[in-house]
Amino acid sequence: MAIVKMNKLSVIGMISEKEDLIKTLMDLGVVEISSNAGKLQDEEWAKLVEKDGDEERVSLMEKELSRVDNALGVLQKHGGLKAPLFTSRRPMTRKEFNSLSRKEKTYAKQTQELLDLNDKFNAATVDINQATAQISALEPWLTYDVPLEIVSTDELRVRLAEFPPVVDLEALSDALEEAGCTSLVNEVSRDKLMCYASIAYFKADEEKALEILKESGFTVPGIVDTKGTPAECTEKYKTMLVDLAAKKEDILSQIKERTSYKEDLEFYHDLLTIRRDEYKIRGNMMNTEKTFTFDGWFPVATLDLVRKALKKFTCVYEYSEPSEDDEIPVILNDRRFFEPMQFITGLYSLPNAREVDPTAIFTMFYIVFFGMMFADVGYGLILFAATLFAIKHYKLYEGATYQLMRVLNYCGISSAVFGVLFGSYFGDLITVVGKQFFDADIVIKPLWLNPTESSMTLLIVSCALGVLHLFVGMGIKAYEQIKAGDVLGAVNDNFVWYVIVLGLVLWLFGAKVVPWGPVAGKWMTIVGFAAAIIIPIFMNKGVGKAIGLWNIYSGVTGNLSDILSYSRLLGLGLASASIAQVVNFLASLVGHGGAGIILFILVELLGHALNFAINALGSFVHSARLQYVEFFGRFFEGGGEAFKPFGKDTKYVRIIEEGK
Amino acid sequence: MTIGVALAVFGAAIAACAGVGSGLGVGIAGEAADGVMAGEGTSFGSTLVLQALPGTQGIYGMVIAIMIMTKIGVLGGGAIDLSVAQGLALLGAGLPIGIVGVWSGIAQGKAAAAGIQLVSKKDGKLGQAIIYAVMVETYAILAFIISFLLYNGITV
Repeated sequence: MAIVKMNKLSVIGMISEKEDLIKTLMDLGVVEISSNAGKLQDEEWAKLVEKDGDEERVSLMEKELSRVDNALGVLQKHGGLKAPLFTSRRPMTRKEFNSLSRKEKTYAKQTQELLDLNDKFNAATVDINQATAQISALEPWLTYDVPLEIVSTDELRVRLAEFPPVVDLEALSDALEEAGCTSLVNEVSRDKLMCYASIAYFKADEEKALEILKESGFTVPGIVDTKGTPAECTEKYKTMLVDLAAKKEDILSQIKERTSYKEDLEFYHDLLTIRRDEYKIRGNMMNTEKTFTFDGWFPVATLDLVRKALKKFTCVYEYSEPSEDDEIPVILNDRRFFEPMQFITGLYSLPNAREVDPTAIFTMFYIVFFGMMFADVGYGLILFAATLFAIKHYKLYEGATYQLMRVLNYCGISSAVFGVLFGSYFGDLITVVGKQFFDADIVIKPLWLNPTESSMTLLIVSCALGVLHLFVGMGIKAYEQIKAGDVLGAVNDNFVWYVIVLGLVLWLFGAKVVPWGPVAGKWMTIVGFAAAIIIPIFMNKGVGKAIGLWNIYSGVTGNLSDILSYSRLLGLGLASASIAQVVNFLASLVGHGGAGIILFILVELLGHALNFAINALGSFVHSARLQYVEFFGRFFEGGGEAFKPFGKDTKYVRIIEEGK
Repeated sequence: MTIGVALAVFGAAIAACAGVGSGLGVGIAGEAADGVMAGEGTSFGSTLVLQALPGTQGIYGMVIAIMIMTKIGVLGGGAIDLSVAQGLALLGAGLPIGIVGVWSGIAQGKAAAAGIQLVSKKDGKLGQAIIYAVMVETYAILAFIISFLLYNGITV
C-alpha cells in the first residue's frame, strides 16, 4: 500500500553514444524521460541547446505501423479470425525476440501481400456493384431488340428516352407531328418510376424534336454500353458477375490462407513500435553540438540498476529527491492481493505523490459492500467461476481487464458468503422447486438473518458499516494532517467528529446495548460540540474564530447524509434478492405439468440472467460510489499523473528479460 | 373484492408506474447513444451500460408492485379481505417509488445521455460517466427502501 518513491534524474551524454544509451534505457524500462518543453522556453537554456528529434522519420515509421494495423484488420475482417473477448500479450524471451527480428523483410512482404489482396478485393466489390447497377439499368429495355450501336441511319436519328411515368406517348407523337417532325414513338416498357421509349425522327428535325421531347420530361437512360442489344448486354454482365464472385471468393480464400501471418504481423507491429519509440523519445531530449541532455524520473528502488546502466557510458548524471513544486509521476505498488483494486482507484484518479495510496485500505470495504448488495450464493459462484474462467482461458495476467476480473472474482466469493448469511440461493429457488415439483417443503434457513424480514436490523448494520468506513477515511486524513504538523487541525476535523458521531449514536440507540449508553452518549456529544466550537478559536484569527459554528452545521448534515447513504447496501441487497424471488414466483405460476417444466426453466434462465446483469452492474458501481463519494471525500485529493517509464510499449508481445 | 383490496391494487399500480421514468430515461439515453454511434471509436458496450442505468427504477417499482400483489393475494391464491385502512396503507407504500421513480428515471436518463457524449469524446471516462449517472439513482434507492419498509410494516 504505497506510492512508489521517485527520484529525479538529469543526464548529459555524448551524442556519439546516444543511440546506445537510448537502447539501454529502453531495455531497462524504469526511467521516465520528461518533456523538455519547460526548459526550451527558458531563455538561458534556449541559448545553449536545441530540441532534438526527427519528426519526419517518426511519421514515416508511423505510416508503416498503420499499414501493419490495416493488414491485421484485413485478416480480422476477411480472414475469418475471431477477435477474442479479452486479449493478453504473448510472453517471449529476448532471444526469441531477436531471432524473430531478423525476419523483418518477410513481415514487410506479408504486410504488402495482405494489403494488395485487400485492394483487389475492394476493386472486385466495386466492379460487382457497377455490373449490378447496369443490369438493373438495362432491365426495362430488355424487350428492345435493336443493337445499341444503332443510334442513327443515313437519314434517321434513333433515340432511347426515359420519361416520367405519367407521360402520354400518343400525345407526344401527335405533338411531334404537329411541329412537322415525322417520327416513330415506341413504348418499350413502363414501371412505377419511368416510362421507357424509343423514338426515331429525321436528323434534320433534331433541334425541334429535342425541344418537344424535353417538354415532356425526356432524360437520357443511364446505359453505358454502346454495343449489342440490351438482352445481350445483360447476359454479358451476368457472366461477369459470376466471374467476379468467383474472383472474390478466390481472394478471400487467399486471405484465409494467410491467417497464419497474424502472429508475425503482430510481432512486426511491436517491433516497429519499439523502433518508433526509440526515435520519438528524442523529441524529449536536447542537443548541443557534441552532447545531449535530458531529465527524467525513476523509482528509488531501481537506483542501482540505473547507475549500472549509465556507468557504461561517457556521461554525467545526477539524481535528487523531488523538490516541493515538482509534479512527481505516480505508480502504485500494492501487495499481490490488493493489486487488482488499483483498477477501482484508477477509475477515479491516481493519488498524487504526496498522499496515501487508499487502494489496500478500501479493498475489504469494497468487497464486503459488493457482497452485501449482490448477496446470493448462486450469483456469487457464477461470478466467481466466470471471472476465474476468463483469467485462465484468456491467460490474463496484466492490465485493466485482468484487474477487473480479479476484483469481480473477489466480489463473487463475497457475494456467495453473504448469500449463505442471508439464505439466498438464486433467491428462494430451492424452496420453489421443492414445492412445485416434489411437493416438499424445503426451507434453507439463513445463517445470519433474512434481509426481507429483518430489514431494520440490516439497515442499522449498513449504516454502522458506513460509520466504520467513514471513520477509517477520517483516520487517514488525520494521519496526513499530523504528518504535516497540523495536530490541532487533525483533532478538529476528525477526532472531534469521532466523539460527536459515536456520542449521538450512543445517545439515540445506546439504551438497547448498555443502560448507561444514553448518558455517556449525551456527554460525549456535548464535549464534542464544545470542542468543535472552541478549537477553531485557537486555530484561526479574526472572523475565522467563529468557524466552529459553521463546522458543526456542515459536519452534522454532511455526516448524516453520508451515513444514510450506506442504506443503499440494504436497498440494492433487497432489490437483487426480491427480484430473484419475483422471478421464481413468476416461473412457478407458469410451471405446471410436463411442458410446464420447460417454461419454468426458460423463465428462470431469462429472469435470473437479467437480474444478474442488472445487479452485478449496480453492485459494482454503487460499491465504487461509496468509495469515491463518501470515503474519498474525507481525505483524497487525487490528480496524480501516471508514471510512464520509457520502455517497450508493446501491444501483442511481452519480452521477458532472462534472469528476472 | 373489498374496497381495501382495490386500494391496495391501486398502490401496486402506482408503484409500477416508476417504469414511466425508466422508459423515458432509457429512451433519452438511447437517443444519445444512437447519435454517438454514428461516429467512430465508441464501443457499443460502454454506451449500452450507460443506457441501461436508468432502467432500475422500473424494476424497483415492479418489485414493490408484485410484492403488494402477493401480499393481498391478487397474484397466486384468492384475494384476502383487507380493511380500507390496510388498503390505504398499502396504497401509501406504493407512492414513494412510484413518484420518485418517474422523475429520477428521467433525470438519470439525461445524466446518462450526457455521459454517453462524454465517453464518445474521451477514452477512459466510462467510470466517471457511470458514477455521475448513478448519483441520481441514490434517490430512487431511498424511495425503494421507504416503500419496502412501509410495505414490510403493514400487516394484513
